[in-house]
Amino acid sequence: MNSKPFYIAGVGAYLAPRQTAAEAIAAGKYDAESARINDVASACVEPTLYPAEMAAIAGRAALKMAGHRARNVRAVFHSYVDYQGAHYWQAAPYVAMHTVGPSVPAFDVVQECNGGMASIELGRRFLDDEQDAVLITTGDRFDSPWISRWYGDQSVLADGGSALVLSAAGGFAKVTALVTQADNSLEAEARGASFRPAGDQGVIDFDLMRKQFYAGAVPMLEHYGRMEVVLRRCVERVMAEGGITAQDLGYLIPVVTTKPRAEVIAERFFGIPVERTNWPFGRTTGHLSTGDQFAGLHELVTTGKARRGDRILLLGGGTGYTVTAALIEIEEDL
Amino acid sequence: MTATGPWDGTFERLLRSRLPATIEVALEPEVPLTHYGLTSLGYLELGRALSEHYGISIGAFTERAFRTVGSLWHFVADSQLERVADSQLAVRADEQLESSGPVQ
Repeated sequence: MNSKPFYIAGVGAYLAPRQTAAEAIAAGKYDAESARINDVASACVEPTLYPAEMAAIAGRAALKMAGHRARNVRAVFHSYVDYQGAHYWQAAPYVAMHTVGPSVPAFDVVQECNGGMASIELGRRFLDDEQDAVLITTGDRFDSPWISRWYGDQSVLADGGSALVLSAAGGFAKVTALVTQADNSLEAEARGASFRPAGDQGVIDFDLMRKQFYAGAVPMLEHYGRMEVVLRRCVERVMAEGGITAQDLGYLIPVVTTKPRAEVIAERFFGIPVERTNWPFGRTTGHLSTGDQFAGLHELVTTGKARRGDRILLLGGGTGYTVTAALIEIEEDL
Repeated sequence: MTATGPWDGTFERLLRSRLPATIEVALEPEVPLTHYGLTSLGYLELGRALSEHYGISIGAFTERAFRTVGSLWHFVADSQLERVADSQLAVRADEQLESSGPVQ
């Protein structure tokens, strides 16, 4: 890891109003059996704001929390997975313009669900001087005709924005270790092992694409085996760099998926109860694309659940396949 | 463990140990494994366990095999039959070699 210490000085979230699973079932958008298995109670559904607008709201909240530690914002990184409000348009400059002003360079980061965590990896490289800061935002809204919110990729997709302010000047949490691992041989999973003309795009069927990937590229168990290697290597390295074990974690904040997946990652992979993860909160929001980790951290620190001395692992993963893990330690109660 | 379907007890034990949501739930042959909460790590662990116990190559498992409890058991059972048939063929080949005497 870069030897220069850096911190999280601010965290923000804009969460859209909730639609419950029962309401979705009544509206014919979801089914009772999936609701029983997945245990997602509700999802954030935004009726008005576009993703970049939600990201800017979260960004302003994070900057306000950071205060003087965000005086010199060197760059803005904005990540997402879906449509931001216009084609052939970059959303990051909009977010930058409505948070830190017209002269700060802004970059879009598109790395599927690992985009927010990957932005930490990119952003820390701008923290050269002790007053430097970086704003990281996320934003998505899943009501486009090519996506089915309640049948997302192993998750229920949710609308909202989130943000972090990284700072070299200090913060409420210190980033004690940061690791990214990748296996690019798995990139074809998210396109079903083949390319398609733009005009052929219907509603995205994640299960069908995965079956096509297994049949035409990498067999299923080989795929899961390679993913496991990347995930295990990333987690082992970040814990080793941080000098702790999973049992020392106060909280784990992975991607929000479903209850069975949350239990497996918590209990079988880390050996900690699922109650020490973001699942109790995440099952009320749904999967906020690249923002689960930041929204989860926001919930933990603003409700007082996470306190000074707690070690928290933010764990991102995105088809591609990349995993980024950030180990942080809370140094100030909010 | 006693089997509650057309599969053997070992299959049921290996499967149940990887299903977080099925402790008190009956296994139905036609129900997709995803409905029992099986996840990617669960598929991987289950595939490895079945591979080890039944002597099936891990690379032989297909996505189609993992669709339902019944399809997975049929895959395992068919693989077992193929192994038996292969070993019988090997025994016959050995016997024919022995009866035909030394190769000149």
